[in-house]
Formats: sequence, C-alpha cells, structure tokens
Amino acid sequence: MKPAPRRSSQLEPGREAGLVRAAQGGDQAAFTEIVRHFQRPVYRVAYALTRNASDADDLAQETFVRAYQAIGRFRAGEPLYPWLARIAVNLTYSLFRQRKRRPETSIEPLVEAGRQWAADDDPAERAAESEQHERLAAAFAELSHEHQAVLTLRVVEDLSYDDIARTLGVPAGTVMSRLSRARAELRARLQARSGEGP
Amino acid sequence: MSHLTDEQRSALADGALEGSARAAAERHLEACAGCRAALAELVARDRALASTLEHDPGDDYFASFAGRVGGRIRAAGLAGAQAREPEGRSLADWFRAPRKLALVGAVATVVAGAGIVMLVTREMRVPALREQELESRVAQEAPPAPSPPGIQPESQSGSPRETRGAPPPAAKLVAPLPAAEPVAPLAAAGLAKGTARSRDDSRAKADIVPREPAIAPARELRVPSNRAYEVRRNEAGEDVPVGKPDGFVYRPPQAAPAPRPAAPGEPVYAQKPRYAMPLTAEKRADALRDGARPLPADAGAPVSSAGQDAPAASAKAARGEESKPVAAPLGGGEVTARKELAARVRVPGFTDGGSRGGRADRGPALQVRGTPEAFDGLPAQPRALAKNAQRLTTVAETIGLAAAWDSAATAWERVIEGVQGGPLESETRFQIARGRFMAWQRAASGKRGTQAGQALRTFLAHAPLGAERDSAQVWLARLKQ
Repeated sequence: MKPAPRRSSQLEPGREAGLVRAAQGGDQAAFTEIVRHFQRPVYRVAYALTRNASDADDLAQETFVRAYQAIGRFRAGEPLYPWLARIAVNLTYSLFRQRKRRPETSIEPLVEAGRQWAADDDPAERAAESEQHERLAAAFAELSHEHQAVLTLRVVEDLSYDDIARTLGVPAGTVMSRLSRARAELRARLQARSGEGP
Repeated sequence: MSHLTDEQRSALADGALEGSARAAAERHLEACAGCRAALAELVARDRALASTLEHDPGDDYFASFAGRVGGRIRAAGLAGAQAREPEGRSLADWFRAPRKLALVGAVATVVAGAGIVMLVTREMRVPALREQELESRVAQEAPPAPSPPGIQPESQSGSPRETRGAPPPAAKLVAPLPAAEPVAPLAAAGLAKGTARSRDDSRAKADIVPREPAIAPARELRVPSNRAYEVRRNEAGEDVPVGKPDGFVYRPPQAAPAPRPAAPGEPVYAQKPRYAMPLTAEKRADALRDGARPLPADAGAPVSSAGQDAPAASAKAARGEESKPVAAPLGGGEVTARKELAARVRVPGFTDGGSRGGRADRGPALQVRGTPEAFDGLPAQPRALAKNAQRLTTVAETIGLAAAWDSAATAWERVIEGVQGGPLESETRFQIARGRFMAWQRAASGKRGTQAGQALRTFLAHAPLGAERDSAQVWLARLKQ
C-alpha cells in the first residue's frame, strides 16, 4: 500500500526537520524557506478544490499564516507537507461552509490551457479536449468534498496512501476504499453527462 | 472468471497492491481484455483530471508569494513561532485548545444542568418532608381535654372562628417549661434545632410563649448565637429566648387580632391576600385600588337563600359598586351578589377570550372565596396540608414551571379529604383544577390534559356561580381546543 509518488513535495528528511526546528525557534528565514518550498503544492491543492485562482491564492497564503501560528505544536521529524495540506483542506472546507454553496466551475483552466496550446494544433482536436476538460471539471465539482479531497491529493499531488491518511486524518484502508468510490462516482457522473448508461 | 473490482483496479493503478494480491491481479489482467480496458480508462481519466485541476499562475506569482505571506503575518501582528513543549504544558495552553475548551464547556453544562435538576427535585421533595414534621407537630398540638395547666384553648379568647362553627382549633402552648413531656418529641422532630429553617419553623416557635419566671433554669447552657436576640438552650435541647441585661425581653410576634364583624352601614375593607402573587407595576396598582375600596354595608353577611352568587354582582360588590339583583345564568330567578369577603388575585398568563381592551385583556380577576387564612379553621391535619398546598401554589406562581404546578395540584388533592362536604371543598377543587390547567398550559401533554379536564369537570359539577366557575369554563373550552 505504498504507491510511488509521481511528484516529490518533500525536502530531505534531515533538512526539513532542521528547518522546522529553526522556525520553531523563531528563525524567520527558515520559515520563509519552508514557504518557498511548499508554496506550489499548497497552491495546487487549494486551486484543485476551489477551481478559482483568487480563492486559491487567499487559501494558500492563509495556510502558511496558520502554519506559522501553529508550528510550535508540530512534531519535528514528521513529514511537513501532509500537515500543510491538511491545513489547506480544512481551510477550504471552512470556506465552503461559509459560502454555503459548492464552488462553481471556473473557466480559468481552460483559458490557461488555451494559451498553452500551440497555434498549429488542430482546432477540432482542441475543441474536443476543451469539451472533455469542461465535462471533467463539472463532474468533479459534483463530487462530495471528501471525494474531491482524496482525488486531489492522489491524482494531482501524487501523495502516498499513508500521507493522504495523515492529511485527512483517516486510516490508510479508508483512503483505499474512499479513492475507489470517488473514482467510480466520477466515472458514473461523466457517463451521465455524456448520455451513456451507468 | 471474476473480474477485478473497482477497489482492486483503483489500488492497482496507484501501485498500492502488494504481494500475492498484485500478482493475482496482474495474472487476471493478462487474460481479461475487459479489465485491461477498464484499468486503462481509469488511468487516462486520472491524467485528464490532473490536467484539468492543475493551474500554474506563473513564476512571477510565486516569486512574491513568501513576501505576501510575511506581510499578512505582520499585518495580523502574530508573535514568533513557539517551540513545541513536550512536557508540562501550562494551564493557559490547555485552555487555548478549542477542542478542550469545548470539552470544558460541555462538562460545565452537564454539571449546571444536574445542579438545576437537583435543585428542582429538592424543591419538589419538600412537601413530603414538611408533612412529616407537621404531622408530628399536629400530634403535639392536640392534647386531650381537659387542658393541662398553662395550655389555653384558643376558643376561649373569643376568636371569630367560634362564631363560624369551625372545629375547635389547636391549643396554644403557653409555657410548658421546664420541658414538659409533649415538648421533647417536638424537639426530636427537628423543629427546635437551633436554627430557624423556614417561616413555618418560626411560626412554630412563635406558638410557644415562654412563661417569664420559668426562664433560665439552673442547668441551662448559654449558647453562642448569631441571632438578633439572645437564647438559652434548655434540657430538651430547645433554644429559649432570654432577656438581655438591659432589660429587653424577646416577645414572639402575636397573631393579629381578628377583625370584628362589620356593623350595619359601616364600610368593610377587603383583606389583602396573604400570599401575594408577583404583579407588574400596572397590575399592582390595580390590585391595590381594588383592595382598598370599601365594600357594601352588607358584606360579610351569610349568603341569602334566595339564590346563589352572580359573578358580575360579586365583582361589583368587591369594587364597592351598587349591588343590584341580576339574573342567574344557570339557576334561574333573581340572585344577589355574594356577600363574603374576597381576595382578588389574577392568574398569570390567563386572558379572557372575550372583549379586547380594558380589564379583560389583562385577564379576569378571580374571586378566591376565602383568604389563605380560610383554611385555619380546619382541624390540624387538613389545615397543615392546606398550608403546604398554599405554599406550593405560591412556589408554582413564582417559578411558573409545569412540574411545580403539578406538585401544587397534587398537594391540593391531599387536602380534599379533609374538606369534603364542607364550605372549602369548592375552593379546594378549584385550586386542583387551576393547578392542573396551569401545568398543562406550561407544558402540554396528554396526561396533563386528561388530569386538567377531569379536575375542571369535577369542579364545575358542583361549583357555585362566580368568577372561578367562569374561569374554569374558559379553561375547559381552551383545553378542548
């Protein structure tokens, strides 16, 4: 139950623990280095859950502010990123509760993707990909917050089951079953959108 | 051949299957094109989802990100990070934790709730305790005739109770000192333990009038006391008031002299109720005005046999207005107004469903036939039960809880045996009905509704005309709604 992460969000263990201890001792430079190292993954989690650049920016910054406040209680030596991701996920849940609505699907990724696509791409193929992204984003937005979080941490962040369990505060076995249900739910919603049977 | 489950495919795509489970899944994939296609579809969907959910705002954005975080921290005025304290966390840290604060709050709520329940339960238990004390007191207060020396029956003092034909009241102990036989059980019953625990206890003490020459026998002990007057403890363990060196002698308060019968033509003033209900300023002024207004000259005379009372006439009589014959709504014929003194009380929360504005909006004034002292003419045991019921009624009127009204009604039900067939039966049944109805009104339930309905119907079956009957009818109608 230890899938190899496709993307590393961790520093070397000794260096990470040293930075944490220095930050706990009040070293501002150490905390700044922690922010610089983890700013992209934290932003990715925030954006994947909100699909809104402004919300993601605000949530990512607030995640590090909360981490600064609470780093004195963090146990040096444990992986830091699951702890940061947990703060980000909880802040996102709080944002959802405040707004009392599910986040709307943003067109920003499509705009961003449109910029990246070269002018020599086939327009028909580009339109098909755009439509697929749109359907996928809409189906993902219909999932429960728990399923969105577990899919984001696994598919976008490539976290191991153990790290996902640490982030969400659930057993590793729960992560496996929750991921399976989230994928099945996403497939069913995509089929419903494309008019196919279950 | 069983295909791979969703969970197996999901775990296989994540590389989370290990050992024999992984080997078995791979063997199945080699032989099953459908599962291979499903797994490939899953992996492709994951990649597409990652592409959809990812967003890179650019290097410029992240170059200034740490600075923005630092600015936000400074703007919030946050202190520097504190190192973890593995041992000996301070109490302040413990209280800063939100979950622990919530736990403390929950515990505090439970403790407070338990305290309230205990207080209420204790209040409800009081009647049983009081009854035991009162019964023991009753056993001491009814010595057989002839009266022993020092005991003077109250009937000899020319009390008006004599003229009303009430049963002979309990004798008053004048000076059974030094400790006579009947007093020792009294002390054992807890009525003279050195501290006056209640108003009734004080009254019980006040009934014992010490014979002045008998005070301070040789074996008495001086007891240090925080009382307003000095006491000595006698052989029976009672605290006996003694005179101070400056000649001051404590005199227990004497009962107010009974009002003499009104002479013809002389105005008679309505007595104020002894157990006053909490009133608003407006109602208090109203009640004072009503209570101070003179009654007709014939007030207090026996009810005429020409007919029963009429509520309107009674109300007018109580307000001092002219009493005219009115038609009885039920009995037929002309009736005259009730001529007994009436204490006017209002039932909290009760409003007449009739006219709007004026007095009706504030609730009708109830004619309680007889003041709380009306039960003083009863024999000792029912009188004690009635006093207890009156006290519980006062408690219920004060706290307004349904349980308190239940207790009051139950206490009045105990009184009914002692007043059955007498002039106070109707009043007692009204108090039962009122208590049951108020309990139902405060917290309606099927049981309370049944009890209130039965009590109201029982009262109405024999109730004379008057405001109480009118109120009971209104309550019964409301109950049926």
